[in-house]
Amino acid sequence: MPEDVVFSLRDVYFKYPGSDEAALKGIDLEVQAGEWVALVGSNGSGKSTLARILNALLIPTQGACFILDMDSKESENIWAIRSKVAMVFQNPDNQIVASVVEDDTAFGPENLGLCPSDICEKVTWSLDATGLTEYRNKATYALSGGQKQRLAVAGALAMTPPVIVLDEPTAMLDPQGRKDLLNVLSELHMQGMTIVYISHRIEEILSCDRVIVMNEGNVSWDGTPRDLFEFGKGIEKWGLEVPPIVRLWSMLKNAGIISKEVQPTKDGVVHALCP
Amino acid sequence: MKFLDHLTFGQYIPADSFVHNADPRGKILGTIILLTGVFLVKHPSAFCIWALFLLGVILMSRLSIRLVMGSAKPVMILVLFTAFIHFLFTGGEPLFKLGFVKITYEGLRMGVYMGLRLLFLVLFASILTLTTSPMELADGLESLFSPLKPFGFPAHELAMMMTIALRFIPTLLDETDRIMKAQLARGADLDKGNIWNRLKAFIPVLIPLFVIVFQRAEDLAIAMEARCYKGGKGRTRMHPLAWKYKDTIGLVITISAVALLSFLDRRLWL
Amino acid sequence: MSIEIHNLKHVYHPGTPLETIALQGIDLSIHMKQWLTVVGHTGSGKSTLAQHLNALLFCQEGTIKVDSISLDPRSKQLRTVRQKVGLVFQYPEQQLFAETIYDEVAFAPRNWGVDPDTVAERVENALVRVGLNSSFYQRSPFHLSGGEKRRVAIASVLSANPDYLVLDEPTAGLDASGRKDLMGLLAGLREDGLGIVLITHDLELALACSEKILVLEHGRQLTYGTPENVIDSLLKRHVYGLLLPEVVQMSHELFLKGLDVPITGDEFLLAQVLIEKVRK
Repeated sequence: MPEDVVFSLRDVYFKYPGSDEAALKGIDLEVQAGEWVALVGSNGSGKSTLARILNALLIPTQGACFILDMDSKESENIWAIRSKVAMVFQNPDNQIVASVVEDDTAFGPENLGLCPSDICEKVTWSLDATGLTEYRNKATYALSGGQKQRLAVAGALAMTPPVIVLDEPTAMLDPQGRKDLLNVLSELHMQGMTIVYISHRIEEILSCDRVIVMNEGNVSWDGTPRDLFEFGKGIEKWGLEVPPIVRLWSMLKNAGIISKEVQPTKDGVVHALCP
Repeated sequence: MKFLDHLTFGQYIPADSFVHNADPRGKILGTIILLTGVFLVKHPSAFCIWALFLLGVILMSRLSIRLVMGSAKPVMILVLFTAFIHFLFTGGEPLFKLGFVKITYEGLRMGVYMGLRLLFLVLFASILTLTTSPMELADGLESLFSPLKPFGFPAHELAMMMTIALRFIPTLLDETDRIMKAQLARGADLDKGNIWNRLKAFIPVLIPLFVIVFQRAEDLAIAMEARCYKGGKGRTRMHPLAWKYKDTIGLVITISAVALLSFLDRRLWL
Repeated sequence: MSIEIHNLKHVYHPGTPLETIALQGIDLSIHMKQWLTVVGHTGSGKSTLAQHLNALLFCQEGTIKVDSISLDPRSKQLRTVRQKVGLVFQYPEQQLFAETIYDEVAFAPRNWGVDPDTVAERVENALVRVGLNSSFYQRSPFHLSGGEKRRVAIASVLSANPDYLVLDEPTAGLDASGRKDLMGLLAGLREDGLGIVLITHDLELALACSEKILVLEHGRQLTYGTPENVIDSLLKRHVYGLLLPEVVQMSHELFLKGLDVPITGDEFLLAQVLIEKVRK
């Protein structure tokens, strides 16, 4: 297997104990290093389950999942996988462990058994990357929702992982918090980090390299965001909604007013009409 | 939000002082020794010396005297009540009588002593919590109890539980407030009738609260696992506790002061 | 019949170092069969305002009148007000507690001492309204999907027969189809004569159905009026552009660049105008 493959899933099935239906039904997937992949789908499509498979929090009931060349079925690989694939969850309040920002950020590297000066360096770096340096000694309770979620990202980054998986991180944030978090992520992406970003807000995926649509435990579609929007209303069968700006883009495109190369974003369309 | 107002008692106030920077283990041990000392002395002048000692510690900690004294406010009722009970129910030579109430010299003395002891206890304890962050306190306790680990004592687990509990108290208070309001909005009557009825009226608040607590606990456990938490083994700290010679000096001074004072109290003044 | 708010001011922890002004100088009126949308960033005072409408909080200054009942902590009619104004909190599924869905929805009418026959009728109506049939009555609310739980929670407020319904971020955490269903439900309730107060940070969702929009900023009324007026006023304040739907932002940018297009949130209208213009 080439070294730049981060995730390699082969025919992965997963069934929660006590449930009749499998949550994942034969997923084949490969993610390359440095990719920013968006995982979209309606509630219950299996996207959160897939995220937990990528972090070895869940082990496939059938099939194989290789994470950076490590088989997640082998129990000795589990901690190595989790230190390389950091995870951020939906509710920021339920993933903050400590009462002070700096202590919470240090939690991950402390668990890895690093020496104090290394921990301190990593904490400083990740607070800087998430724009929280000025809050270093503040109480976690006093942060806003958006800041709390950035703290969760900082806590994940402090383990200096090459990959970060985010499970609907913006679901509980307001527009400003959402925008700030996405800015942090695109900065990390530019530095070469592999990002798997789960969302049900389709308008957030425009900056990603690749979109994977999940539906009823299967991968229904895999490609670039632009190609996804070529489907138009066709994506509604997967429980997704076409954002108004994309509807406008395709109407203008179909009428031949803007060329096919124009990006389906506000700035793209404005630039095409008034260069 | 209104619940939070009552929680200011003993909340950590960061500052740069000798007391703040002292090792939490030393502070915990020192506080325990001081508290024992407070309960050993019997002589009025010894209380004056305790008061001076307290003043000294407050000055060294750079906390305002008003703040420290204010932290005793919530327990003042308990202090006065204890004193009052002793006034009334200590036997001895009556000083004066008022109907069936008789106040004795012994009672007066015991009441004042017990009240003062309780007051000192609260004040010394709150200096500890005012100058030590919850994290340091947990680390200190973990380290002090770690000699018991070979006997199966869960020192690390208890410290981690304390850290998490402190982290979630404000969140859960907010949550309680929100659920109470939601049920009030649905016409629930939370403050009418006898105790039994009131308890029953609280079921719509308690059940959702339990559900939320369990959900949060489960989420948090997964999040901690994802951040490689596998218990205390192999875990290091960003700010490891470091015992300095200043800590030794502080502890030695505290022990000597307590020993000397209780010696004087017994031998010279009585 | 209306809720009238005049010069409302609310301060948290007055007289302490934690003192914060949550709301100040709020003037508005909410009528039955009308839709008011309240938007603002986190901490702008939206949720505080919601709790005032339901007599859970009381203002330090100003007045609130619900159908001419003045809201005052000493008033004897607070329970009447709470019945008239239904309040759906954020993540309302977290308030569920009963063993069956029937009991959950019957909680509110029983609290107001409604007779059992009427309770049954109200429960049925409320559950039909949110799209759950009688097969759900005896099921546990804890064994439903997230979207169904939310609907039960909304039904459990509707069963009190409120005249006004205040909802705090009701679409949070729902997916596209869940959001669409919920907005449809609210539009139906408004048709039935309820006054709707929707608190959200997703203006895109609510722009088309709102009669009035209130934008809060740090507890103050930034603008208040019809959607057209509010869009105008927000576009003038650059920072608040973020609250506006992308299509509105886009039409404004095109307008500024010299294209004669209407400033609108309606992408079909905008596309039509643009296509006509270019063809000419």
